[in-house]
Amino acid sequence: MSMRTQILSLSTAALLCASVATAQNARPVAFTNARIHTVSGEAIENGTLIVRSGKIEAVGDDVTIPAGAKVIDASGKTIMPGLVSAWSRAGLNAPRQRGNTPTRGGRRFRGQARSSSGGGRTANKAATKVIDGLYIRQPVFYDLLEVGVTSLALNPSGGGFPGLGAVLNPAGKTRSDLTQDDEAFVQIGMQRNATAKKLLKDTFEKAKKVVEEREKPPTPPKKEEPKKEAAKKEEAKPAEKKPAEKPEEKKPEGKEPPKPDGKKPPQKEGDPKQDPKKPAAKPASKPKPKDPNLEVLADLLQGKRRAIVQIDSAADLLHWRHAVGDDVKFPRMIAVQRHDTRSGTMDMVVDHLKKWECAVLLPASLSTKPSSSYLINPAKSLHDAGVEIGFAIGESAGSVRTIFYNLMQLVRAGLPADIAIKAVTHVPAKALGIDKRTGTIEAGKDADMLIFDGDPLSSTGKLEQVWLRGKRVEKK
Amino acid sequence: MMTFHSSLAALTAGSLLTSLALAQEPEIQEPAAKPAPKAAEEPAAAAAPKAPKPFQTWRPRRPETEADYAVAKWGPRGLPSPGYAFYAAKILPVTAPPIINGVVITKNGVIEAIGKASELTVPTGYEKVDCGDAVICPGFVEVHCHIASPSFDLNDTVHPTNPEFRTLDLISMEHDQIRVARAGGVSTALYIPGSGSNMGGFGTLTKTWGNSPEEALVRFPGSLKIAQAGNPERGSGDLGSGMMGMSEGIRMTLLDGKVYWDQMLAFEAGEGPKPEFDPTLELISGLFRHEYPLSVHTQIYQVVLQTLQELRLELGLWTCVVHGTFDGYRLSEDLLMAGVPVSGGPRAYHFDRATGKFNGVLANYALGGKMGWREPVLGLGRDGVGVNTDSPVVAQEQLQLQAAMGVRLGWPHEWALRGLTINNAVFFGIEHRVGSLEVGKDADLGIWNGDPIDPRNHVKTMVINGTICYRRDPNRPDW
Amino acid sequence: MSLAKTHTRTNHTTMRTSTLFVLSLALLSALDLPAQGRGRRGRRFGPPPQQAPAPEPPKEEKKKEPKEHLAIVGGDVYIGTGQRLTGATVLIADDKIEKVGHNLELPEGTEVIDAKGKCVSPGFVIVEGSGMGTGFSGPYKDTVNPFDPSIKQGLAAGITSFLVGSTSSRGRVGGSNAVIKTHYGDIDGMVLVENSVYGVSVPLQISQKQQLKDQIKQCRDYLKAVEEYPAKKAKDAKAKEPKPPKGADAVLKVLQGKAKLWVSMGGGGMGMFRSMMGGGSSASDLDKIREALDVSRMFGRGVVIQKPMSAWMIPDEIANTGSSVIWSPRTRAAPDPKDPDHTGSNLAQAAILDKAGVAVAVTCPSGRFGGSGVGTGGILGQDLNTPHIDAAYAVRGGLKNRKALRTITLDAAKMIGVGDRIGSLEAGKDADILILDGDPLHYGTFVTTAVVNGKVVYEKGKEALFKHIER
Repeated sequence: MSMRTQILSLSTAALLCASVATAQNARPVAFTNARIHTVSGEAIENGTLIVRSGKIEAVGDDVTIPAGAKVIDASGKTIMPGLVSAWSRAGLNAPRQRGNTPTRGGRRFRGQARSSSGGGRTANKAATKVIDGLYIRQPVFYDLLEVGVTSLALNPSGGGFPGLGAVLNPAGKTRSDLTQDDEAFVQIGMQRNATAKKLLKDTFEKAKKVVEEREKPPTPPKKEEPKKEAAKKEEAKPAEKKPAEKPEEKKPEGKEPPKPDGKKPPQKEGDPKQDPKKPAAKPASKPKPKDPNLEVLADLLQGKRRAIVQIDSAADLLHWRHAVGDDVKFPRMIAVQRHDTRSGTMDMVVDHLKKWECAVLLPASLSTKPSSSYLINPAKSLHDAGVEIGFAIGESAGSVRTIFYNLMQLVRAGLPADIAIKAVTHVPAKALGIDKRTGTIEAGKDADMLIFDGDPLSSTGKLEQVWLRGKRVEKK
Repeated sequence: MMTFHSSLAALTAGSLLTSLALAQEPEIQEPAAKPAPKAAEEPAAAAAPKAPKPFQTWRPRRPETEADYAVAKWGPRGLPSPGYAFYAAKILPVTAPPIINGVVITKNGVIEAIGKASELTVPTGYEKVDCGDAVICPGFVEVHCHIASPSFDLNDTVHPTNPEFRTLDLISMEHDQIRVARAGGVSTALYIPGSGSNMGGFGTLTKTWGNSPEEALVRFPGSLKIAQAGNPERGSGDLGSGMMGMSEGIRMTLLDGKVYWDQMLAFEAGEGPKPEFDPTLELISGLFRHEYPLSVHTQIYQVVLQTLQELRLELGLWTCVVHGTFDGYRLSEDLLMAGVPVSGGPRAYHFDRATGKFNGVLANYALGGKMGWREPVLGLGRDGVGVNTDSPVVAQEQLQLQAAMGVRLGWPHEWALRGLTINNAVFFGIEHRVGSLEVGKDADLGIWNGDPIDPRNHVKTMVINGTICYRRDPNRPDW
Repeated sequence: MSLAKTHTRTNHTTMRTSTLFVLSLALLSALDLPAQGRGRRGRRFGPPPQQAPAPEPPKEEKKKEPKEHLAIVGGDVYIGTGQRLTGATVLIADDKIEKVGHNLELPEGTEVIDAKGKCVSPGFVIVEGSGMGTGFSGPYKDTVNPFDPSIKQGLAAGITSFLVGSTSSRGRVGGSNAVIKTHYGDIDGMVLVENSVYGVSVPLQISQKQQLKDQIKQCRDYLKAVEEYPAKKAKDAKAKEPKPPKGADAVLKVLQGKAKLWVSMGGGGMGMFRSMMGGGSSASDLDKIREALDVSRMFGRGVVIQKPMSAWMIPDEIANTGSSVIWSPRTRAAPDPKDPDHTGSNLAQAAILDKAGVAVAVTCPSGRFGGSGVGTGGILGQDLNTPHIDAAYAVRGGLKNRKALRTITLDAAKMIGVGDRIGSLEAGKDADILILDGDPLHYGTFVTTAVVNGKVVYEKGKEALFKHIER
């Protein structure tokens, strides 16, 4: 054939494939005779699920299969929503081990757990984004997707306010594809020491002040406010003062930056006398530069953001209350990295947890009564008391694979099965703010789901297919 | 003496196995649902209760009288001492019921008479000592002592096993610690080498007072000190620090002695030549003659089992366990059946990590019970358990406190008094001399101001070999 | 008064009514004898229930919570001062002891614990402790772990308070410590006070002694200036407020009586083996004790002498300065054979000191298996699992049984600076109470119930530790 004909046939073939592909995308898929854990409601024993264009179109036991749908007989199979990991550092620059790395300068206290926020000093860096530390080309994301993780959090490490966490799409290959939401939640880490407690207390107080400022009715601008104005102008002139207003550092508000000429700020009314000052006629509407970290936290206190608060033990929870108090409320989930029998497992403070009215993310394991091998089930204790529980599912494919075994153990130890499933799907999705889109099997949500041969919570259940956004995930 | 860390490591291994066993059937413990089993409880209704068997130390080849001992050397008896009649409100002979308002009459180192003051006549010339409101009991017998000498080289570890060593020449009566031991009510002590090596050497049974060490001697050898694990792995010799390597040294050395003994027996029966004299093998052969026992520093279940199987059952030696701590008490029934007594100490408790309980070691050895086994086991009973200090790990004068702590955790009070006196004497074969207040035995008396097990009470007067060797000054008491 | 705080939130218009109300309440509560306690942790102390509610409270007034009452009835009550009441009642209101006596009338709703046949005693106070919820250093209120399982062990041993941290400082007065309670599960309940004790170790070098003298003088001058300041200011408006001398905070607190001064015998300790094996080079610390008494005279206050060996030789000298002694009865130091009558330790030390009027607190032996903790790997009777045994040895040395209880209760509490809060069962003190199944100093006695800050925090029958042991 001639060159021209070759090109023509090749392009035709390509076009055909493309159209076939598109047609396939548009072509709905119907799963029939499946057992479906919707999580939003009761499990459906013999149900039908329609997936189209990446979304769940319909689910129920009495659903009409649209024309042209590819019908898959799923008898003997169980369909559940894809796993949502709300605690993960997979993909971060230097992945840290959960809970075992001592903080710099942190001492191992006899009788106490090591401070477990994973590294870095406590600081208020609430506005930094963890996504900036992401290494995109890592096999771990696809590994996780293969074992069923359809939405993945990225948690910053450190105590205090280490930054804004992100939600990732594990199938993404580029940064923009990976990043679902680069400001999904505010990460807060509790540590049981004086510096951390002071930081938390002071920072929340400052954030409260910012909220008060915001909620104040706007005052008409006054001309005769030289004191305030002059102070504002001092701050507004970067050339005059030492560089002190970096966004990452927390700066106590209202403090005068050191002046080059060492004079005190003007106390009397009228035009300021110092030379570097501009005349008072300048528009007073130039606002004080805001501390972005405090702005983030003010948003949080106003309910515009959500937080994941790492509190590892009952003792840490009591210290949080001691430092911050019960009336600092904001949308949050508590994340517990491991059961700490020396500092108290969370079932010991279940009354406080009830008052917080938030979900608690627990390790998916049993624990023991202190100083003995008697097994206890903190997840069940919390659930029985009315606390919503979630489970951390792990940061590596290996640990995620065992999550179903762990859930099975927990169910055998008394946790209801539907709660166990909910704890690894809907509850973490809510904490990450993606529950409108995923986490349950409901019409209108993304088709992120797992298809098991058998019961996921039995030892013979086997994960056969993982679907992400309506597309089956191919094994590598 | 023992190491914390190695024992702890072995203990952790044992506990891990236990907890894994428990974990295979996860029992979710509801708080306050079922009461924990008591140590003294009757066995479960399903298992038929076992008939308790009285304990007897296994020592079949025991020589008849002191003169029949071929190897061991006995100390003098009947050394001159004045005649005394000690009157007290209460006398505890230990092997007989208590005597109210009694008198003990002694002379020349032995007890001549004991009974109610109203019924006995005191011979003329005897000094009457009115102890008033006192309690007289036998002097305590300590079987794990490292302080009878002021020297501090008890852990010579020249070889992996050191049967050539003996403590006989190290004993002194003049130093501070033994003086205070007397004031603490201890009259007899088995002074043994440390457990730095698997076989430390031969220990000496001695009184804690005498005009000279020779006069104070009760018997040499008192025992052969063996340490199976828990210290020797700190590194003696080049046999390696595992339990197999350590056992080899013990076993081979003892077997050498057994060969020597077989040859000696054959010679005595006229069936073979006399073996060439070897002082060390001579001493080891005495073990096989059952003239003196092994003092085995052994603890935790695994190693106590090893002691039982290797030393007592396989080699057929008269064996005493002198620590038995941690969870060794789980073998109480096996030890009972084999006739291996336990003198427990210095740790009075074992914290069981599986259940979170403080287990009384002495109580559990004595009473048996459901020690983590499926079925309850028998205990060593009244006669099979003694107590010691492993001085200076616990100061020698605090032997009384060791018994008190045993009682605190469940050891019956009457058994504890025996555990301080006659039991220890029986375990080491000197009960014909000491351990109880009986006519003909040594006049070793502790004259106390009350219950001899309560640490608030003290010795007012101490009598050893019929001599008053300590009178307490309340303003400057020795102890 | 805590009542006053409530009213800062009220509206200005009702201020007058509120003030009147406050005054009348203050009058009424002044008439109420027993429960005059400081309110901690936000507790409101309103008038006791039997008093009639006087004027109508303003609408903003917070609803006053009635006190929760707990009564321990029928036991032999050891007050902790040496007094003992048989078959008596201890009545607790919230976190304080309201009343102790016979046939007390119990308010409605009182929870009753039957202690018939048992002994009731103040919780034991340990002057040298560690662990039980604390880390290695302060600040304690930010690091205590109220769920540490060893807290339960401490409670099983009868310990309700202990001093943790450093109490000695080379050459200068310093230290960083706290009095911690074994209040399981409650952070505020655990930290009683921080830095109520400062320490210094003797012997002091000449320069150090001089510095101390200077500091004391500066502080005394400062205190005098503070006293004279109001009068001075009235005459001269420009008079400057006196400033405390720099770097002498500890000295100042001691002078003001806000902290106790502990003096440790530095330079060569009484190690376990050294003392056991016939004494070391030093069988007497008489010189150091005398130097401690010098320091006491410099301050004009009694000091607490830590573990002196030879205090038994100079009881009257010690008594004259009003000082007291911390001591471990079982830690022996052998006498020097050249002078056995005047050297070495003496088991009768507590009795001798007590006879001269010197208070004694006891500690357990230090060393590999002793030590100031409640571990699970130690030797029973040598550590804090049995604090009553150390007091028992003071009895062996001649101290009366009832007096010996003070060495681990009231006298110990005074020496760590909290004698007004704990250490005895008296009205107004913290409700830290033990119910025991026998004489508190008998070797076989166990704690059956422990109350801290008015809450039952330990019951023998509910914890695995000793539930299986019957007395």
